Amino acid sequence: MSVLDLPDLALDLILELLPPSGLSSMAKVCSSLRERCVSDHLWEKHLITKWGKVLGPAAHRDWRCYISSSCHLDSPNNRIGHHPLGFDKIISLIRSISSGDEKRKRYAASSLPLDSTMSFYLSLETGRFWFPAQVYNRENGHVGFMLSCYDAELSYDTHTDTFQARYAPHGRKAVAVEKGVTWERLRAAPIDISPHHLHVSDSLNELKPGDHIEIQWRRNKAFPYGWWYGVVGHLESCDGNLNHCHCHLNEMVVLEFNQYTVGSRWRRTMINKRDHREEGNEEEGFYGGIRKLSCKEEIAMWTRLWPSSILE
Amino acid sequence: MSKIIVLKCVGHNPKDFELDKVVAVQFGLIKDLFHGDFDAESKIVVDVPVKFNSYIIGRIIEFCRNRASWSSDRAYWEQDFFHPCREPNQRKRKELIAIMEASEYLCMESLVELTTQSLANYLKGKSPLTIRSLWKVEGDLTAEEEAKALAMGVAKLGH
Repeated sequence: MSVLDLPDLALDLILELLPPSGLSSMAKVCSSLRERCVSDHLWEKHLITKWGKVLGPAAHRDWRCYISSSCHLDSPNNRIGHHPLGFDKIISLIRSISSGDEKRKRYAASSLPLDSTMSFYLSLETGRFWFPAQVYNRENGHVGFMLSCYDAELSYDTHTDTFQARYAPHGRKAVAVEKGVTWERLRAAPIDISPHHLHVSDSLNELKPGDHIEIQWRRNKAFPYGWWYGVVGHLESCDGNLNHCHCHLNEMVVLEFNQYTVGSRWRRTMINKRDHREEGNEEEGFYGGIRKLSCKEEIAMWTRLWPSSILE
Repeated sequence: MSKIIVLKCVGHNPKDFELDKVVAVQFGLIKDLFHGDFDAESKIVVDVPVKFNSYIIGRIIEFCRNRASWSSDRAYWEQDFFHPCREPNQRKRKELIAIMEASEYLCMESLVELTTQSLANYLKGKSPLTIRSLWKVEGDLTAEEEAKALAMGVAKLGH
């Protein structure tokens, strides 16, 4: 009995249970199976399962630009290393199908468009497509970036199951590159905004002592923002007793960065809630938009990254 | 007297199977027919489509009885029941496929899941050429595609 003699529903049920490597193998068996194995609904589950947490709106936008531009076409500068599952060969096959040659006629009803989910998945998997996301504690936990999250372009390395990150340049400095970035240090940008744009804070009046926040900060106005973790503190006039604390009613809000030692200029700053945009100077940098953290998982992530010793 | 449920198989080797309650409740089709009421007195005969022969229905009932019995060797028995790889012949795989189709008709969700998972597990890790050979599928790729397929080799497990 041929596997193709299975009723459609039965075959689909089996295909839905296959991992990406299995679907890839089945797609190479014959043309009929290829037509089934490249369909979006089979690959969407895999895309979401493996990549869902790190792909935000910016990544999907960049993917659409990537496939519509000519820069992804096969060229010596664009080749990547051999993928153990042969995904790089499938990418070539996909492009040959879409290039308008004889094969295209045969696959006219089932040709794999470059904007298919399978194409997206394989391009991520092979590292061919660099996608935007954010990296916690960039540059191998560099002390100058501890408890921050910065935008970067990421490329996956399937051999090590880690990423290479390219960070936006800081002024004239060379682009910083980091290898070996693990999955747990990545996130999709929680706010869809360029790292050079100021986030307009929308929850300032709700802030009260004990709240967890992230705030944009940059060394100078030519640099991109990073998001830095902090906690809302009490005003100096308050003794910290919650029963009669009125700090939340004050137009000034204290932000504490307790990863720094007491007395450090980085440990504490104050923001005026009224019309806050960006405040600062060339010495202490510029504090920008604030987002209040409500999700326990987000807060737990920062707690996990807490440095083992206080920073100077 | 409680309900008597008979599964009537026609065609090659016709046979009637009388089901007790613990087995009958596992058939979603039968459960729907009786709205879950298995205690009212009556006799019901359910005609099984001719494409599902009595051997396959018998195997499904055997599975249901084993499930109902909670015997200590149940796990071992099920492992053998679902193992698709009785080489060199394809009898066991054909049997699994037939059980999958019949259990889908009989609305037995758990058995459908178990059989499809077994068949999917069988396909995992196999190269396209191996799949073609085992499943007797004719490859109709072009020479260029064939060469690329052969060059890919056996896939390793990915992350």
